[in-house]
Amino acid sequence: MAVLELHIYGPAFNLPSIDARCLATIALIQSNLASDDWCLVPSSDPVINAFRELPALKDGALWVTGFRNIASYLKVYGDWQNATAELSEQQAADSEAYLSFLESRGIPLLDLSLYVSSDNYTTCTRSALAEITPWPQSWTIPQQLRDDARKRSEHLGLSGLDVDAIREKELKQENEGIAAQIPKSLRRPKQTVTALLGSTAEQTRFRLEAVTADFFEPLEELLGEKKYFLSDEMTALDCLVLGILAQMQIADLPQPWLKHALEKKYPKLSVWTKENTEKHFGPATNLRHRPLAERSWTKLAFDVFNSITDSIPINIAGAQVRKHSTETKSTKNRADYEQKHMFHVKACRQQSLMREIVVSILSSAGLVGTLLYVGVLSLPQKKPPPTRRNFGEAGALLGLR
Amino acid sequence: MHESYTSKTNGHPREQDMNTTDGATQTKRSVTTPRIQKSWFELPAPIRQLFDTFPLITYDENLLPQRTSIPRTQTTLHIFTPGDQANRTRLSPNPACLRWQAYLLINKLPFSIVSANNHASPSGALPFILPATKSRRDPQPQAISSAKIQRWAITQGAKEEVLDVRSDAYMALIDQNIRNAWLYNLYLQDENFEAVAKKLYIRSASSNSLVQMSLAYQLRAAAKDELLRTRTFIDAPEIYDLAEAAFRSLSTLLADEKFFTKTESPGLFDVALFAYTHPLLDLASSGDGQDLEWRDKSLLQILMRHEKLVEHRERVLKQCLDG
Repeated sequence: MAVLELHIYGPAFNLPSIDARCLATIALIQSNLASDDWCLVPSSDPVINAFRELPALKDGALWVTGFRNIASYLKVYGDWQNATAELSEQQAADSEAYLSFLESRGIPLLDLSLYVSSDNYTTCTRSALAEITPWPQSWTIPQQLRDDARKRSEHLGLSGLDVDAIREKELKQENEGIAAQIPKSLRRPKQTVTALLGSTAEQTRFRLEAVTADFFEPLEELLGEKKYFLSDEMTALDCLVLGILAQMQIADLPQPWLKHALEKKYPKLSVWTKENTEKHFGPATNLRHRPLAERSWTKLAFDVFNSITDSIPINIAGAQVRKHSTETKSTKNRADYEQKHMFHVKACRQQSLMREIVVSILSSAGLVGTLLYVGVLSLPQKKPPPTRRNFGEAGALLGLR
Repeated sequence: MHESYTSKTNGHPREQDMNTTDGATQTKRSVTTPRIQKSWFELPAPIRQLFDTFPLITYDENLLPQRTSIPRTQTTLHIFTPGDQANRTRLSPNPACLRWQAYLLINKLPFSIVSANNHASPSGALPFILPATKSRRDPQPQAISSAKIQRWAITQGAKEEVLDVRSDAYMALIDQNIRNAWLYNLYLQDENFEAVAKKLYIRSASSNSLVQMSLAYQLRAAAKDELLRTRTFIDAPEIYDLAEAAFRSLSTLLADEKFFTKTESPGLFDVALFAYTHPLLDLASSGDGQDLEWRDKSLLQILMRHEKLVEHRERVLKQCLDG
């Protein structure tokens, strides 16, 4: 059997990956496969697969992406000792509920802490991302991840952490009207009530406390006195909890509200995380890395082309939506994953074909335009109408006109 | 006209006036010659003249709609309901609205229903409540948005319920898995969109086919955006698998109890689930003459496999209609 490759966002903050779901997937595979059967590839570029998502598991030609999908694929994949099969009905229900809970409450909290909070993003996350992403994706990926994080966490109503956006708005107001006439060096900084109250992080503290309590309390209740969250065995749920909590305990953030909340108010969770982070991601564990291949210049040119054209919004209606088939199956097999992969490969190819067509039309139009403007090409001009022969007065006399 | 022109350009062509013998004809000529365009961005004269004629008519302000003669002394819940004759027990087909309508009904709070749409809401989303005032003269109270309805209802005598921590986690199944499946089922499934969503949300909003088309596009784009918020692609089998898992887990959580509260009366968690299961099962067959019916019954069939939840919906429905 081929060695499985797990593609992830690269290492940061003393953890093997900067992304919580990638961490969770590492823990999941690590605790279920022998270390010879798989290796880590810190590719940090979601474009490598048709789903445009990381973590991604590569099994031969087949890609499976996302934590949940990989977890269910591993059940299909050969001789894996499936821990979730031994769960009781109640445990399976809890597992489902808490997986959704972690995804809908935990991930947005991390988004707030690492991406939306301007202090944390500019001092830590951005530089960490710049280190792991290859050029030229390092221009686009950090910003895109931040935009995605903003979108995922906007419903929490804590955009106040995003000081950049607020400052931009203030600056815009400042540069309009009469204030714009005064030179910048002479302007007195406006003392607003919010400025007097302290930094934005302080103002949002109350809301933050409510949101973090909403997330940590159900988790601590579920853990109780057990070794793991569901039983004494490690399950997929524990992996996701570990991935998320490990990221929440990152040290050295300028705005460490998440770490403080976890350590001060939920010591049991904090201890559990520390122990298991050490066990799964600590220096003692030897994760087998496959180094990234040197990029040829053709691949580099292709990457540059992609990062430029990616911003062209081309959406073939429905291309991204895979329909539901009416037949229902209770268990999935490998063919299902292959079918799904094929569909998205096709959709992806269609989209890139469309993009290439648009780009080539635009560039050829530009080229022709330039040539016309410079004068190398010229439009075929109308011939001047043939001047009639004029026989003069004599002709008129003879009726020849 | 000539007079006014010279007075306007007073001082400017003075030198010319003095030098030429017939200054009058000189200025006259400059009137008729077209003004030289000063910058590229200036509109050409004919277009400027065209826009100068607008607005042709300015209408008076609209009067307040006469039919909103709802007694202000009664609490009104503004929700989406098809048809005008709104009855408080006529349940809304929109899950967000139905959740709070059912919540008020099971708590037996007095209120009346007003049919509204998103544009009517101060927050841009339905439902919202306008609390009753003591007398007709009182200033209009602040509208209560859906996030604050529960707190308001408790001040009005609804029983206070504290969700235990575990059902807080299970709530994620409803808000995440089931909601996503519902969005896909209603908006992105073409047949269902034609058969149900168009009739519910689009035909009722406008009779103009162009407006209908743009509304349909907006609705579907919004649903797609919402689904793409947490994923990079939309994969219907995956969405339905998650919904199936959610129904299974909820069914396990309910076990043999009547309601999730484990008492004789339903609570907030019950209505949250009911808000999705009721519209799904209600449109299973076109019974009530509205010929609304799911064409693609995949999601409905997934729900039907969990009998406990189907029975649970019946029980909550009975409580609502009694309320």
